[in-house]
Amino acid sequence: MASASLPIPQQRRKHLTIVLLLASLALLAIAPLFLYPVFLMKLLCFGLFAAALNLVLGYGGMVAFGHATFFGGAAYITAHALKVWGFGAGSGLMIGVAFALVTGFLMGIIAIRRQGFYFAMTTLALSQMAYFAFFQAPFTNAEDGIQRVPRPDFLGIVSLSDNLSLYYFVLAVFLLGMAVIWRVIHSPFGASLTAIRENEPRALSLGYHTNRYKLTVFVISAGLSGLAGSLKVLVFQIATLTDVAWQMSGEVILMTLLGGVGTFLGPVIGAALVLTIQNYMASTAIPVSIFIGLAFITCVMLFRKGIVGEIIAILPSASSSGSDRRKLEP
Amino acid sequence: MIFGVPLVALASQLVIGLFNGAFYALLSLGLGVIFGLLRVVNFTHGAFYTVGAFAAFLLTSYAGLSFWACLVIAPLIVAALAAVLERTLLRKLYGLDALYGLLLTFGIALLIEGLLQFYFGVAGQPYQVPDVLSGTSNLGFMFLPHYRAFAIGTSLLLCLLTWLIIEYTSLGAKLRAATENSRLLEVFGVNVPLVLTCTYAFGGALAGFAGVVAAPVFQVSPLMGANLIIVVFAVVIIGGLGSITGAIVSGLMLGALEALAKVYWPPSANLVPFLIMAVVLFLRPRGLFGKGE
Amino acid sequence: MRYDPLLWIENLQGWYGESHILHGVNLSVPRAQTIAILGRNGVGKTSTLRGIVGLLSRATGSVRMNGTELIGMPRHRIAYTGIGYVPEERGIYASLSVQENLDLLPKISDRGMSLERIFDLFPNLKERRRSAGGTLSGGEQQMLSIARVLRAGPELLVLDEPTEGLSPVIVQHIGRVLNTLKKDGLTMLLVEQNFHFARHLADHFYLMEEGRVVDDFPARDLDARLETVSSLIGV
Repeated sequence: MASASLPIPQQRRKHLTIVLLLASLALLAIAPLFLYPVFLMKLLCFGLFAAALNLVLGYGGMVAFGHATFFGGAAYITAHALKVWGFGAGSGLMIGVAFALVTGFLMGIIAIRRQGFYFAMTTLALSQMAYFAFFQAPFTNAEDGIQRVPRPDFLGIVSLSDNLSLYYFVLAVFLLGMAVIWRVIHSPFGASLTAIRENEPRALSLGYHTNRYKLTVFVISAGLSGLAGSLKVLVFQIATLTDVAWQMSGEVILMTLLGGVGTFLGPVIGAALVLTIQNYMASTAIPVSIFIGLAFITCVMLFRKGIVGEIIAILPSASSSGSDRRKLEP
Repeated sequence: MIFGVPLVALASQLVIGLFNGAFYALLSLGLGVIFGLLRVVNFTHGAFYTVGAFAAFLLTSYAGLSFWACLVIAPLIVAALAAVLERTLLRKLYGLDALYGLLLTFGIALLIEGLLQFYFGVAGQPYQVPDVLSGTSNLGFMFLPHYRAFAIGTSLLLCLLTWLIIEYTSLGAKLRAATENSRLLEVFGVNVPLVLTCTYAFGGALAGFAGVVAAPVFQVSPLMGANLIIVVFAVVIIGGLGSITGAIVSGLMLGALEALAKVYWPPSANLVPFLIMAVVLFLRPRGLFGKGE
Repeated sequence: MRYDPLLWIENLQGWYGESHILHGVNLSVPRAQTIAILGRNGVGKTSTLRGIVGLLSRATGSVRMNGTELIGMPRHRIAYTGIGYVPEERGIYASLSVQENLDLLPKISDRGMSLERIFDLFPNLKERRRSAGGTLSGGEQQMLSIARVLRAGPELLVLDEPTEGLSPVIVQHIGRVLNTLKKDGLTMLLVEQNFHFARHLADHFYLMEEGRVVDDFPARDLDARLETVSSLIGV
């Protein structure tokens, strides 16, 4: 579209987004009155994780198959820092994020040398390497994991020992993480990223250091995934191999895909859906992977845009613009 | 003694390494052939391997078939399963981004593994080595278990056969032509959709064959292929996707190196494939035998 | 005598993705004749040929070969109605040897030429039969592309710019070969920028503009029409 100002449908959509955001914010604030706070916190952790992956998957156009390393790795580090080194909640989260940023940089710098499915396979293989490293590192206690992690106070004053106060703390951190993602998407950096995703050769010829952009978004995404993993330790007081295994990387891709790749809220909704169904499945004898597998197949075959993506596509205002709808690019 | 390790121990480990390497070679060969033609990174490959092993286990326990019969029938079962999956699901994604194929096959793999888990539990099921192959030979410098020698030999034979078919038969020429420009080949009257189905089924059969051969050594369990496939991905990246020689050579090499790592520094054994992959990616992003994309 | 053309195209509409490029092409190719389509670049000549062999993303209308409708037929079955396609980009498989390229196509009839006959027509190919297709010169590639479909035994040869970018000696050689084939009774549909080449070969001409056939006339009327033709195709 050639006009300089936002076309009306887009403007309307922006309003709609803001209304939706405020509504969900209010909903989140009162949610623990109706729902079990621990489940809600789990939802927030995975929602943030999926939204962080979405930065790479949806906005960077790269299928990263190794994000469990950042999520579970940060969880291990935070758990160890809280339990053995006596860190506070804030510094515990920060050291987890720092770890995720560093490993994200290392994985990113190797993986972005290849594109498309090579990128996917490389991230997967590197995260499997990290899995074995964690498995063998003495501090992770192999199959047992790090258990009974304390919940220290935040900044020495805010007690996180009861679930309700912890919930609001987790909510605050979640919102902070989502705000970072929002900033990244709606910044010049985000716009450049879109340009690279749509047509990398062209972006290269325009003088973009495309690899630098891709690496940056990968590292940011890794850091936020780490934040989600560290938060999860505060909630469940445990860090295990499950969080660093490749199945976790697959699950978070499913959450993002199901909710809507490249939509702001889609991954969170996808996470909520997957966790709810998993919760329900846990009471049956059916292995969760049957559900995950079926969900993947259905999603890829029938609604590739995801729930939020399909809703946007149905909205009459959306037909003309693809600006919020990201598609997978090799 | 070599670097403080007795030759016998070293040689035995190397045989184990080559044994694993033969599986890597078979699986990455199938992955490479499928990828070359269908442009799909087949995540279901590990599940095909598992299904092959389960098919052998079930055929022997319930139908009383011999190992040798299973060696033929189980891969055919996997091939049929693969053909159905290609016709009903995978085919619909060909026009789209190749990553959807990867995600679909990932989902199929989880579904298959979940179903096996549901019916058979996570515990492994034992499978007997056929009597003829159960002995061991003393080669003087080492003991060679017959079954492992057989497994390495047949796997390599199958790899060689695949290579010969692709390089030297008219069917192989059609496969290579389809890899280059399949639309034109269709215009010339070649039923490319059928070729694609057969290729996927053939790749699946190779994995199924590997599964049968693996069954007597490893336990038959629902997740046996899931972890293997990730190492195979590393093999494929090291060798270069679509290179047949690359798949075979790097498969064997990786198996051997893993074995050496197990001898000299056991904790590193699991990491070796991935470390080598990282190094190769740095030095030769297209893989050791890759010609380009 | 009943008019019974080998190929009959009626109101062919064609698309590449979203763009509509053929707007109702009407054309017929009588048996044992050579038809040439003339026109400027981008008027839909190549697209018409691609429409015949099923290489457009969408096509409507009717294309009948020996009375069989080709529109909607699976692409791999079209060749079996008797069509041999020589694409503009030649379509040589670079990783296959010359021999493999020659043996690649399934036989669609018993008219398929023997290797001896092929090497008789194109002696160069015999010398290079072990070389990879990718190492051939442009002229050799063109010869191979023609030779390859002749091996399959088509009734109708569809040639897209067979002389494009080739040296005069090669153009002459290809001209001789096509003339021989014509004498043997092979039907040909030809798109050609090289007007002088087409002139010596074709029995009938079609002129295209903007995705349509705008005129057609037999070869004997060519001289009378030379001026209009020249202005239309810019010779």
